[in-house]
Amino acid sequence: MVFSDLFFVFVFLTACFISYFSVKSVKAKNAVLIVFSLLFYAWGEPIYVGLLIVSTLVNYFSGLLIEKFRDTKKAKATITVALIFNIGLLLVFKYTGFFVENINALLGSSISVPDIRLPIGISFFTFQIMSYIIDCYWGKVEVQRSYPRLLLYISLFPQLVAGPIVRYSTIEEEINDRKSTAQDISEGLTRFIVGLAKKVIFANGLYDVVDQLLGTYGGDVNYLGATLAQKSFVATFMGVVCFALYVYYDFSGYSDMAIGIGRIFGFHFDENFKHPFASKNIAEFWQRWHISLGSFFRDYLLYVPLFGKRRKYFSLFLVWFCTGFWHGASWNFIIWGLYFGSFILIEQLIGKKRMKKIPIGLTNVYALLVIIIGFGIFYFENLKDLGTFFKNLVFANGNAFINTVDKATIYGSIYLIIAAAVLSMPILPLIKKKLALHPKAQCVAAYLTTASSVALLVICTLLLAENASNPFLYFRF
Amino acid sequence: MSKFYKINIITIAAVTAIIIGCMAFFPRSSGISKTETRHLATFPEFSFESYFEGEYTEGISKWFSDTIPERELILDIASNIRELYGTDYIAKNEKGEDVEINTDNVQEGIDDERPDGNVSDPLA
Repeated sequence: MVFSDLFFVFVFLTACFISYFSVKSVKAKNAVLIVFSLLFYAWGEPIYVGLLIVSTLVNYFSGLLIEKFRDTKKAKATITVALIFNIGLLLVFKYTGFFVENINALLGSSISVPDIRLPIGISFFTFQIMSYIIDCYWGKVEVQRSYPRLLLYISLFPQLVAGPIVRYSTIEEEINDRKSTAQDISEGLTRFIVGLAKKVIFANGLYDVVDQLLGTYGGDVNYLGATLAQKSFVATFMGVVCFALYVYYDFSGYSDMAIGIGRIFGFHFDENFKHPFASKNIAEFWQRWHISLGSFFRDYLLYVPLFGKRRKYFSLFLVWFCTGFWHGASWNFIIWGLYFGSFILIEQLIGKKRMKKIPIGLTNVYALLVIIIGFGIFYFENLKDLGTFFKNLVFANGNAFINTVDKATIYGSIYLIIAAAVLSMPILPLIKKKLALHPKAQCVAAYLTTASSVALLVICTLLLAENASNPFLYFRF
Repeated sequence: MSKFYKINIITIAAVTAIIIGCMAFFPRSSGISKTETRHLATFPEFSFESYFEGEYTEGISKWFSDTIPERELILDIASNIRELYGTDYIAKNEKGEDVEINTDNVQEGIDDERPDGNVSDPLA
C-alpha cells in the first residue's frame, strides 16, 4: 500500500483514525496501531510480514538478554549475534545478487544469480531495529520488556516502509504514554496533506519531465529513437535537475506524510529534510537531506571506537561507502556515496574558517552543482550510461545545446519546475517567522492554511483518480 | 490559536467526509474508460495464490481508484489541472508556419526519423 493512493487515504487511513480515536487507553490505541500497521505491511507483503514479526521477536529477546547479562561478555556476544542477524538479513535480501554478479565478473565464474525479492522497507526497519538494540546495549534506552510495544515501534506504519528512520529513543516515552492535542491533530493533518501534494503534484509531475528528457524517446513523439548519447546538453542537465527535484519532493513528501500521521497519533518524529538545496556546502547538505540516515551512520558507524581518531579518513570512507551502498545494490550508488564523501573530505581539508570566507552565493552555486551532478550519478545505474551522461555535459558526443522537443518538454512543465525550485527553498519558514510578529496576520494565515489544505486535498484526490502507478522512489530501498 | 486548530480539523474532516460520502453513495464507474481506452478494473476474485503474490490486494486498490463515481469527468478535470503545469511551445516548420510542439503527438511537416543520425535540431 502506498500513501499516495485513494484507497489508503479514504479507506485505510480514515478507518485507522476512527478506530484510534474511538478507544481511550494508550494500550488500546497501541493495539489499534499494531493491527493497522501489520495490515498495512501485509497488504504489500503478505509473506514477508512474517519476517518483520520474527525479526522483531529476535531483537526483543536479544534486548532482554543484553539487559540480563549487562556488563558481561555474554551481553557483547548477544549484541554481536543480533547485529549479524540484522545486517545478515539485509545482505541476503538486498545484496546477494550484487555479490554473485561481481564474483562472476571478477573470477569469470557463472554462478547463477539468485532472484531474491526485496521485502518493502527492509532497509528502513532493519536500521530501526538496530538503533534499538545498539542503544539498549549502550544503556541509552531502557530495554522494552513488552513485545507488543517493540512490535509497535518497528511496524508503525507511517514510517515503516520509507522512513524516516525513527530512533527508538525518540519515541520511547510516547509508546508508553502520549496524548494527541488539537495542535498535534491539526498540524499533523496539514503536514500530511502538504506531503501528499508534494508527491502527487510535484514528484509525479517532475517524473514525467525526467522520463521525457532522460529516457529514450520512442513511440508517439516526433524525434524518434534518440539514445542517451544523442540528447542535448540541456536535456541532460535539466533532466538531472528535475530528477534531483523529483527525488526531493518524492522522498520529503513521504516523510511529511509519515511525520504528519505520526503527529496525529501523538508521536513526534524528527525532521528528515530541512530545505537541502539551500545548503552552502556538501557537509551542510547531508545535515539537511535524509537526516535520519546521515545521523544513523554518524552515531553508529563514524564514532564507533573501533576506528578511533587515528582512522578518521578510513571511517569517513566507510560511512560514505555505506551511505551509497544502502541506497542500492549497484556500483553507481557506491560511486554516489563516495562522490559526496570526497567533497566532504575536501571541505574538511579546506577548513570551516576558509570556507566561510568564500561568498555565500558562490558556495550555494558550488553546492547546487555538486548536488545536481550527484543526482546524475544516482539516476544512471548502468555505468556505461553514466559515462555517456558525463560526456553529454561536455558535448563530447557531438550534442546539440538544445533541441526543439527538449524546449517543448520543458515549456510543457515550466511553471511546475519553477514552483518546485522556488518552494524547495526555505520561503515558508521565513514567512512564518515574519508572521509570528503580527498576531492579526497570524489569524489570516491560519484561515489561508485551512483553505490551502482543503484545496490541495481536493486537487490530489482528482489527480490520484488516474490510478497511474506512482510508487515512492525510496520504496526500492 | 487553539480555535484555529479546531477549525482546521473540522474543515478537513468535513471535506474528507464529503469525498468519502460521494465515493460511497454515488454509482461507481464501470465498463470501459473512453479517456484511457481500457476496461476499468473489477473487484478481484480471491484466491490464496493471488493473495500471497500480492495481486489480490493490489487489485482492490486498483478497483477502488478505477471505479470512483464520475471518473471520466474527474480525469478530464485532472488533465486540465496538469495543463497548468506549463505552456505549449510554438516553433516554426520548414515552411515558416507556426507549429505547436506537443511531446505526446506526432507533428506534421517534421521528419519522424533521422536516417543520417544527425543530432541537430530538425527544426533549426
